Amino acid sequence: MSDLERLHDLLASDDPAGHRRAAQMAAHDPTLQAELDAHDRLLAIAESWRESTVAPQHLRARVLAGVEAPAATVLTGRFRNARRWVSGLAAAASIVLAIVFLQQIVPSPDVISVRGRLLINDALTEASEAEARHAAAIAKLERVAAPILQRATDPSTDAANAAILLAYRDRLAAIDTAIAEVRGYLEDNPGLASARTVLLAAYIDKTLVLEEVLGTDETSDLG
Amino acid sequence: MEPAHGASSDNELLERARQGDAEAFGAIYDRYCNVLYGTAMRLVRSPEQAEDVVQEAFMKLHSRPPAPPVRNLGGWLHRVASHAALDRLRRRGRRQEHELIPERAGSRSTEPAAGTDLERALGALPERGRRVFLLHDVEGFLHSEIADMLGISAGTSKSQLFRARRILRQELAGAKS
Repeated sequence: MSDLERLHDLLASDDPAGHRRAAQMAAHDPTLQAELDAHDRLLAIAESWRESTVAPQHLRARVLAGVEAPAATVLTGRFRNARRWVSGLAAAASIVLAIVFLQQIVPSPDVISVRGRLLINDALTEASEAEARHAAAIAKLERVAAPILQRATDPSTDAANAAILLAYRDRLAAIDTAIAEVRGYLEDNPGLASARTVLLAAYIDKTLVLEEVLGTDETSDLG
Repeated sequence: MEPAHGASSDNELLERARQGDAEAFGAIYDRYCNVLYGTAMRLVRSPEQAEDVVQEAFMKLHSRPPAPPVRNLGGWLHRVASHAALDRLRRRGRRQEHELIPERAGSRSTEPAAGTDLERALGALPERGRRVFLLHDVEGFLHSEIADMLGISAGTSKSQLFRARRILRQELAGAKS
């Protein structure tokens, strides 16, 4: 192996001692020193390139909206034992926050023109049909849950359980508000996949909350 | 990737994010988005796919975060994004092996001439050498880590880097003259 090859072999390793030996070799040889300088310039360019990239602005809203959609269903898990629930409004706020993020996206030409980001006609039809099925299933659950939720204001319901039912009602109202906002947004931007994701998450969230309401009727001392 | 003085630490933000604090998660995004996007963009060479990689990395952070306390959240995210980008390259195959990295909005360089010359020079490399150079000299991974990522030995990674640097030095010297 020539000195030149030896120099670059040392520089290609991850061993700092190897880099020191390379510098020592180059210190006594102008040719090797020129090689070392060229190596250092290449690494400086690589480092500069690494430091220079900036993520596009719309990516933030997209990433956070994508995270907020599953977060809505994760937060719903806190309602599984209604007696420990404290952050229903915070959970509802997470969906509203997702709406705010969507509003930041605003159908800019860059977002709408990117291939694959929007739902094409067939996918749009499928998404609409899926949403209609969710809405129909929720309507059935609401009809069964309505009498249970009405007990929140029944004088015969004890205060603790009334508070739980009122919290469920507040939670459902917040989700309904979020659903209405997203659906309004989708009327102007029907192809925006991220909005569909948030809407689906809201439907799932509402379904789970309604199931919990029905669960309180089976297990508890209500009524 | 250290937080500014007085700012919340990564572990503090991550704990708050675990509790559902969207602002905390947003702060983590703001702290690391540029690094991750840059890594993804350099590997997959497509703004759309780079965005998908970044989203995938943060989705993983959200759904399966590292166990606390996290020693280096930036490093964790960096590895996740790099793996995600390489997975995409494997699925995509070698169709774009010889494409140059195009100039794109959202990928601005503070030293446009140097970065652009390097991007052009990378086009002269075979794909594996290109990936090894990017992962080692640009992204800062060790040969042992690159070996795991690419399914090669650390020795092969080192020799690939040796050859890649030689070609790049020649290309960059030619670009100057």
